[in-house]
Amino acid sequence: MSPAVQTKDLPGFDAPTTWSGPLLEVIDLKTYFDTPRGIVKAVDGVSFTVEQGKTIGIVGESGSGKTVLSRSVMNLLPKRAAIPAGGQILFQGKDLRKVSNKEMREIWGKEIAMVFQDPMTSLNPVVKIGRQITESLRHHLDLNKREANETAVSLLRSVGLPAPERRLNEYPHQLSGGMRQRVTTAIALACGPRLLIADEPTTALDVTVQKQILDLLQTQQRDRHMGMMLITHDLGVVANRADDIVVMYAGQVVERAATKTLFKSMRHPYTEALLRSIPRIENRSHTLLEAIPGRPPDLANLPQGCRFAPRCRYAQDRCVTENPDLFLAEQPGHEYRCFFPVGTDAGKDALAHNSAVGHTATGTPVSIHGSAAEAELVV
Amino acid sequence: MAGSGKAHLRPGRDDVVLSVEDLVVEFPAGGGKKVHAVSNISFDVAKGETLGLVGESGCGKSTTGRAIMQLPRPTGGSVRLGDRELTKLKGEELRRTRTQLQMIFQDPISSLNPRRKIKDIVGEGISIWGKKTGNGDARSRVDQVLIDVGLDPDTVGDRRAHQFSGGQCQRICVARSLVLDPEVIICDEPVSALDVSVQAQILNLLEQMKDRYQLTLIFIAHDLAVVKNISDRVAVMYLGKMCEIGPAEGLYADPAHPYTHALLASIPQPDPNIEALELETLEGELPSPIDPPSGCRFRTRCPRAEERCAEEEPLMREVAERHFVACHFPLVGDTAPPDAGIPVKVRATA
Repeated sequence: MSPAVQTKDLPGFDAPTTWSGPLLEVIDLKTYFDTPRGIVKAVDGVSFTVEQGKTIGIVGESGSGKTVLSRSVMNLLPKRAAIPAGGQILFQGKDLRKVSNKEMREIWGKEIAMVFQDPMTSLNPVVKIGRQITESLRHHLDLNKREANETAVSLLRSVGLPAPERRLNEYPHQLSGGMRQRVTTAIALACGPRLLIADEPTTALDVTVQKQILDLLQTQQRDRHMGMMLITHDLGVVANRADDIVVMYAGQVVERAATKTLFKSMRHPYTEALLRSIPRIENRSHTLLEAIPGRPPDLANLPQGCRFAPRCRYAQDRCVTENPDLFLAEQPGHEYRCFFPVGTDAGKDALAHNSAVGHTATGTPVSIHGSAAEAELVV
Repeated sequence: MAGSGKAHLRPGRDDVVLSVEDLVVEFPAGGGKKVHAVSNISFDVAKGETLGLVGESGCGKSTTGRAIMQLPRPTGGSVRLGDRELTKLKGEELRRTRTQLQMIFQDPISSLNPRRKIKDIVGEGISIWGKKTGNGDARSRVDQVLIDVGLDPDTVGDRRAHQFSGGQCQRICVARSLVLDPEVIICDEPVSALDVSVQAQILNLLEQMKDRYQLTLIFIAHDLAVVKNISDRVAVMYLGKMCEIGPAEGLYADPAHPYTHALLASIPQPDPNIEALELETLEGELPSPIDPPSGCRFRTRCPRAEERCAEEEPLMREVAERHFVACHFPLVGDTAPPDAGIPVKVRATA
């Protein structure tokens, strides 16, 4: 934020990299949880790639598996509960699923770092800010105490925290939410990671602070040429910050595309519904919102067919019995999981058919409005 | 901003349901200091109107909502519901009046008692007041409001809060607030804990219930797009003061207060053609409400602040029809910068 600090003076900024392939490749990743209610398929066959210096946005509602996905990549899931059911997580060609915790310690912070959702709880309340930042600097970069403190000050300055020297001796409770999120960002950036995972970094913050933090992440990502996974439930947050977007629903990728392609020619009804349900500032007051009826499915008891079918305006008989694969769209790199995609003839016919009958194949009444009458009746 | 004044009140109108004048809420902060949570806020709400209250956390918007309910009692000022002065009422009289004033809270799950059945939670108001207000058969009344909010009373009634999703719990909270046929409902961040897809359901539901039950709403939220969607008039608050109040359309199209402008510019736009980094950012953080800045409270972060702002508190004045602002150098009229008056959205895409 503050132009006086050159990011390239910070550690790890120009760390030599010999790897030229994709930074992170996630291939058919499956993470299940064994619970008393049955197997919960939190992440079910997700694939995507993060290139160096690029930002990928991962969008989904709560329960769509986006947080479990990020924790799988970080290898942070409890070993007892999570069943790694398959797939590969290749970070610079190395499968993180086969790496022990001891080896992960050399990757956490140094190669892959994470900014968590809640800055109030992701900092240790009884340890001074300074030590929380210098901990990884001293471990990974072998700096002595004085060097580490100096680096911590310049890190805090680069994330725009006022009076950084004083902050080193303060505790997290003495800072506001936005300042704490700047500190967690500084900690994540400390050792110059190649990949930064930001899991809902601004959900707990006000709109003005949200913009400050997102701008900070974006400038740091560009200056350091990092790869970034920006995870959010808000399409508005990733629309002008991510290069590619992955839309997740009930543990699966339902659509993946370059950001502009996604917004211009989205194919999946869920992406369309998600975008339409956001209140827009340019709409007049009292515009009826196009709510998505119902709610996401229970991940322990998934429907047989398409997982979005019970809430989908386009749903046909085929959607109830068969879960579609990811199909390729005409644009390279654009994939979607739908038999009756938005903006195609098949989609238009499906919608026309449903409007004519008055309900979809799953019995959801077709009207563009989520009225109280059509909202789920609990059975 | 951070201004006072009452130029925006409408004493002449006879359909004003709720009017708040010079509301002050202060909390002791130890060492003889005080937290100035709300300082000299005035506004009125007409019958059937929705007033949106927006601002960052810590600006006093929730405290304002609670002070109207007399929870806690405000330190000063007056709150009038119809012809009754709530700050003077006590005991049963106050409780009886409060049936006209209901509240919906932010976290729908924790605002329902986990050990009670839904039909008892929703029906509690009737079981307390039923006989005295003559609301008829309690059971059928509870069933009716549950149906109105889109829930099936036969399956829902005997369940408990943990068996429902966040959106369903918020529907139950709406039902609970409707059961006594209130005059005014204060919605304190009712959708901020919900997913976008469910948020739209609840916003639509509130609009429908407002029509069906002829409600007057005070809608408190930090999301400007949500507030615009539901409100007729919008009031922007900052650090315990009101900056700007006006019709939703006018206020969003031509924000007069620099703070309103900054808030609007911070909203993430779901449009990939806008370069996020090029939009302006409001620097700095909210000052402490224990020792608020002199004069205009926004001056420490305001790009347009001058000496006068530190010395003299701006008062509410009209800048457009029914659109009032408390600022010495508003972004409209004589003091407007060359590019002001263009809606943020248009400038961003241009």
